[in-house]
Amino acid sequence: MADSAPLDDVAVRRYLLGRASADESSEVEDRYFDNPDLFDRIEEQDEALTQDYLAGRLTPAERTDFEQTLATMPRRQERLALIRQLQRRRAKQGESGWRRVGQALAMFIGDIGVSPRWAYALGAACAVLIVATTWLGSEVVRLRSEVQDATVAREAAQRESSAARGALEAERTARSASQTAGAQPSPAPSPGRDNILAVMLTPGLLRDGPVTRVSLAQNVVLVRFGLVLPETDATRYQVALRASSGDERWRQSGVRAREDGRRTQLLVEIPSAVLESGQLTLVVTPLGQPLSASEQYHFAVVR
Amino acid sequence: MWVLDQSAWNALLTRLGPDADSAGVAYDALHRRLVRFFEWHGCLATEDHADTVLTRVARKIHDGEQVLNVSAYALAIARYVLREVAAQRKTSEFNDAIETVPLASPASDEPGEPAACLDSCLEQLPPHNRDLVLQYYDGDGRRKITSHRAMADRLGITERALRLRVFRIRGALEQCVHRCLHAA
Repeated sequence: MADSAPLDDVAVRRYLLGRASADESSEVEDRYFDNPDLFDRIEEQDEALTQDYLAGRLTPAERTDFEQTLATMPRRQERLALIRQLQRRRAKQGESGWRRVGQALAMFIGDIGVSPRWAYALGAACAVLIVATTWLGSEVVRLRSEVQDATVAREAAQRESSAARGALEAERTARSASQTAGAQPSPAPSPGRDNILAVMLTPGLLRDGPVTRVSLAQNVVLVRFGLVLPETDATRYQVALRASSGDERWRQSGVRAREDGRRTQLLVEIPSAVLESGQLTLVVTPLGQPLSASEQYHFAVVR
Repeated sequence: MWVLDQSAWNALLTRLGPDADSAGVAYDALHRRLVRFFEWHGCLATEDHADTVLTRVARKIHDGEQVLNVSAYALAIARYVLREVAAQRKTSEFNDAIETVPLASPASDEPGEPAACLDSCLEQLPPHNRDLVLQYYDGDGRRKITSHRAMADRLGITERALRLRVFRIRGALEQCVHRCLHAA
């Protein structure tokens, strides 16, 4: 089963970001099950991807892909939360460690003959001084790091915002507002917690026909689309998100159709960060078939 | 339901290695690959699914099936289990209304259960492993890189070996925290 040719790092990265085709995924899996060293390398790449994400070193496109996998890979989400907690834990542990040093210092001063009351007071004063100095030092380091992270995030957000503004401007010059009689406003999501918004779409015949309006509150991090499929023999699909300019914003391949008795549908989850304001289209194509066999699902995002 | 008994377990280990030690190492390595396979396919109960696969592989071997390559066979079973898991997922989670549902896990900055689980799981680690993993995640940027180099030098290992060691410890923490968070 093992292929003598080395596995492409790009293919592995695609696999880890959930972008590999079904065939690519199978090949990666066949190879790492057969080769423990390759598996170690893939695990290291996975870890590096996580650390790059936390440090803001991913490109905007990779960041989007990675965040999308947080929705589809719950164990990855748990790992991120654990790493963040470990990072915070270490900072707090450093603080309490110095308190113990202060207490030990107080005991030492008592041992060398100073009266217990004054020894304790002196020891406590020293402990406070040591703790305060250390805490200030660690806070400076932490705040510097947060400023650095925020700067990286702001730059990435500015780049994304620039691209989105450009696309939206092109849309505005070409079309009027997309409010129609058939539009359905979505209810307000629960405040205060991260939310998933679920939306059902049916294929649209006309670009200018009735569209579903999707209101994205700030705390909606993920939108789960249910795409009703017409009668079909296909079982797997490619789903692409396109802006009104035609530019592709997101893609997922190998999505499996589901039947629930009443209908056949696809379920795809898209991070809200990818969904720019304005009219968008999900293009669904059965795998292995031409674009002419696609169905289109139009909707409008309002923030 | 078929239960993995000692003879089936021994039959599986015999196929994995010539002696108990090497078979145990091979079993752990295969289990880890299965766990990651299910993780990368979006499953939550990755350890349970990995156990299911290995139990089924053990059963096949015990029943006399000729399994030439245990890893490849385990992968085939894993793909089958994945299809079963996907089929069991609720297909009627949608209704015709647009709805909003909260994410399964709370925001990581909130105190409470996740922090308590981590506390408890850290306590279960041997002290040197606990200190190692906490020290590894201390600091940031250049300070962290320098610290990792110093840690590796102190232990007399390469930085890569340090990374792998911490990675294994953190993997154990992840499993412990996951069990704690999802305890019935």
